[in-house]
Formats: sequence, structure tokens, C-alpha cells
Amino acid sequence: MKCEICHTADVETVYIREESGKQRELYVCRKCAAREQEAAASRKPPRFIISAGHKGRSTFRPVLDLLFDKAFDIIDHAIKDKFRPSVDPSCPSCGLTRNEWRKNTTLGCPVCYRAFGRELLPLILDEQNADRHVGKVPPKYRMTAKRDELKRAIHAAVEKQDYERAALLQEELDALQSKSKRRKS
Amino acid sequence: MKFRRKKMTSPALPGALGGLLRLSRNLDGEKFPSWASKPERERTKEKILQAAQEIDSTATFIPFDTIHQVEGFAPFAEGSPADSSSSGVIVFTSNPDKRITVNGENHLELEYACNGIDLMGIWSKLDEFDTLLSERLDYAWSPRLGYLTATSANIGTALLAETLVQLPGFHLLRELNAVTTALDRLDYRVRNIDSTECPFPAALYRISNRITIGKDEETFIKNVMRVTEKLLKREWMARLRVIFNHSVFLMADYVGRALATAKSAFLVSQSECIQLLFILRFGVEMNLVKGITLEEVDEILGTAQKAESVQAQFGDGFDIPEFQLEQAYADFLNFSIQDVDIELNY
Ligand SMILES: [Zn+2]
Ligand SMILES: [Zn+2]
Repeated sequence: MKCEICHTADVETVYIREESGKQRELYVCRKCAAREQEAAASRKPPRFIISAGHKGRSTFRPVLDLLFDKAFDIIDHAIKDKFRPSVDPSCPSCGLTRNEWRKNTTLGCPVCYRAFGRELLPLILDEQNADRHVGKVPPKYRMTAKRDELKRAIHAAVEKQDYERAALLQEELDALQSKSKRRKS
Repeated sequence: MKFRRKKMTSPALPGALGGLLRLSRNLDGEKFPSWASKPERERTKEKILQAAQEIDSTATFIPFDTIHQVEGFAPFAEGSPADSSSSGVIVFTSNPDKRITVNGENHLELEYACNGIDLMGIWSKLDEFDTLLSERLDYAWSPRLGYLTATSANIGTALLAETLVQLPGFHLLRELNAVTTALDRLDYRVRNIDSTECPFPAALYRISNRITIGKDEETFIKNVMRVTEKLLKREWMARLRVIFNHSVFLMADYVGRALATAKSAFLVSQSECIQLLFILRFGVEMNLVKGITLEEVDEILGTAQKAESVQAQFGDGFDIPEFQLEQAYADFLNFSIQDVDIELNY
């Protein structure tokens, strides 16, 4: 498995990135992990630090202010924890979590492709230089595709007031639909 | 020494040993095998077996735990999952080149094998077989991503187009690294399948598509065929370079050592036996060996893949159980090639 940041080195460690309040587990190489950690440290605003002002003169804030800040901070955190979106999203059909998938590279069920689609598509594009199927279509779906095409053609014919053609197409569609009904029963 | 052109070019495509096409399919609404429970896997297996039997009544399911009892599985058989009673292969007595792996990585993997590398020749049959199955099974499919597989690595067509080739020319010239790197850059997967049990490399490689989405099945298949043909033409040139730029002795030494081992070994494992025979086959292709034809080597190779018949025919020499099969293979090998010798025609 390749690093999720540089996509070249092998995975060596797990890094937890904070993204707008959500925690996301990333499987990365050691180098990228170190870089992430540094970047995160520089992003974090300094808290409760009585910072030294310009030219070495310290600026003090009133003690009461600080206490207030601290109190609200604790409340903020409590609220955030309660409403924090699921740290590890999972597939609604098979229950496989994102972390389980990332660890095994094997998905749980066909629905996982929808559940993790946002992450899977770029991954597929990255691995295969394409993310759109152009090959074989199973017969069952061929019927659906044909039906959609006929419906569109009927609509277009009606728009053009070509009712003769629309009727012909409707006949074709009916035949197709009764055929698929017979198949099902 | 004169180069006998007529005999040298007789094999159609030297080094072309076999081909395989595989389509991975999964059932809608079922967990993929590695996450499914045993009863879930059992249910999937039953569905698939029933569909296969409706299409071809000769379909039989063989669980992985009894697979060694099936003859002729060596060339393409790979690692089997832990639970083996609901995982296995469906074979067809009507056609030994066709089979379905059930509950491997995916619910089903349809396979067709061929002797040469004419993969397009088996594609239409595989395609038809897949279509017949899809009318009886609910395949997991999406318009955007195609056939949904257990890993995203073979999403889309979910097709594996693979050829089996032998590259001893490149091996003798020590150019294999360059070859595999070049193929890798062109997005083909190259795997050496020589056994570590044999000290003589036969330079056996599998070439397959790494990309499975973005093009249709025929394009992927034709590309693998084309790159294999190009590779084998270069392999042939490499063999000629060994003879004419270096020395025929380099090649004769390579084949001769393997032949001597094959003739005089007392204990030989199945994979070592097969590997030695492939080196001998190369010697026959290069007209370096007398006393055996290419067809005869291929026939011996066919027998070597059936451990049971080798054991039955040659396994009664000694009764030390742990060595019985290896001793049987050694006897089989000694016997099969007793009249074979190196002959320098150059
Ligand atoms: Zn990295
Ligand atoms: Zn799922």
C-alpha cells in the first residue's frame, strides 16, 4: 500500500489529521508524517500563552479574562465532542469502516463503492489513470439503457409533434417492457 | 559452424507457453468473500453452482481443501483462502480449459486457459459464458465504475489477461531487469514464477494487464497479446545474440546442467521437475537437444502437472513416506528423458 500523501513511498505509519473539526486517519510514509506534524504545529494558534510583546516588553491580560477564556474553552470542547461527526465513517450496507478498508485494501460489499466513493474515485484515477468504465455492460443493464433511450426518443418525437413516430417508439418500448416482465416471472 | 535456419525457426513463437483470461464478478447485495460469514459464503457458492449447472450440466464444485486431488491444476493455481469448504473451483468435464473460482478474492472468477498466447481466441467463449451467467446471477455493476470488485485494483472490466512466457535468452544475457522495468513502465505486470526449490532458473514469467478501467476488454487483451509478441521476438533475438555474439557454449552449459540434474537426481519436487523440463524444452526449441521433440516435452510436462499419476506410476520404489513423491518425480524424470542428450549443431 502506498502513502496517501505522496503516493510513492510505502505506508509506514498512521497520521491523524484534523480537518475542520473532523479527524481523518491517513496511512502515510514516515517523511510525510513528519511534514504533516510540522505543518500542524505551525497552524495551531498559541493558547493561554502570555506572549511577549514587541521589543521585549511583555503585555499582560487581566487574570479574569484568562479565566473566562479557559472556562469557555472547556465548554466549546464539550460541545464539539458531542456533535463531532463520526470519526470513522462506515458503509451503511455491510458496516465496514473506512479504517478497516484502508488497512486491508479489500472493500466489504458492492455498496462500499458508494459509501467511500469520494475517496475511492481519486484513488482509482491515481492507480489506473482512468475512472470511467467503457467495457462490457451486463444484459440486464443493457435493457435499462435501451429503455431510457426509447423514453427520451418518444419525448423528443412528441415535442416535434411527430406522433406517428412516437406511437411506433411507444410500441417498441411496450414490447421491451412486457419482455422484461415475462423474464422476471 | 553453420546456422541451420530452417530448423531454428520451426516453433511458431518460441517461449510462448500459455495464456489465461479471467473475469472477476460479484453478486449484488452480498458481502465480499473475505468479510462474509461462513453461511453467507455457503449461500453465494450455492447460487453460483446452480447457475453454472444450468448452463453446463457437467459443472462440479471442488472445495479448496480437496483441490490437490484434482489433476492438472499446477500452472495457474494460486493461494487459497483460509476457510476452504465454501471456497473452491467449479470445473467442467466438458471443457478442462474452463473453470470458475468461487469465494476467492471475489464471489466468482471465470477463467479460460489456452496453450499458446492467442487470448483473443478464447475471449469470445469467455464473454459468452459470462453473459449466460449474468442472466442467472445478479452481478454488482455500476454505470460509472463497471464491475464492482473486492479491491479497487481491478475495477471496471475486472479483466485479467495473462500470458506465460519463457525468457532464457534475456536471462543468459542478464538483461531481465531492463525488460521487466520497461514492461512495468508500460503498465504491464510482470512476475517471475520460478520455483526457489530449483537451483536452475527457467526464466518463466507471467505478463498481464495492470490497468482494468478506461478501455474495453478487447483493447486490454489485444495490448497484452501485442506486448507479449513483441517481447518474444526480442527474446528470440536475445537467444541469437547469445549464440552469435557470445558463445553457443553459454547456452549449452545452461541446458546441459539442467539436463544432467534431471537425469541423475534422486529426489525432485514437482515444481523442480517442471522447471527442469522447461529448461529442456528451451533446449529443444534451440535445437540443442537430440532424442526428444517439442511435442514429447510438452506431453511429459502435462504428466508432470498430475502428481497422482506420477505417484501411481513411479511411487513404489521406496517406502519412506516423506520422500515418496520426490522419489517418484525423480524416477519419472530419469525415465522420461533417458535418451535425451545435448547436441551442438552450430
Ligand atoms: Zn509519503
Ligand atoms: Zn459495504
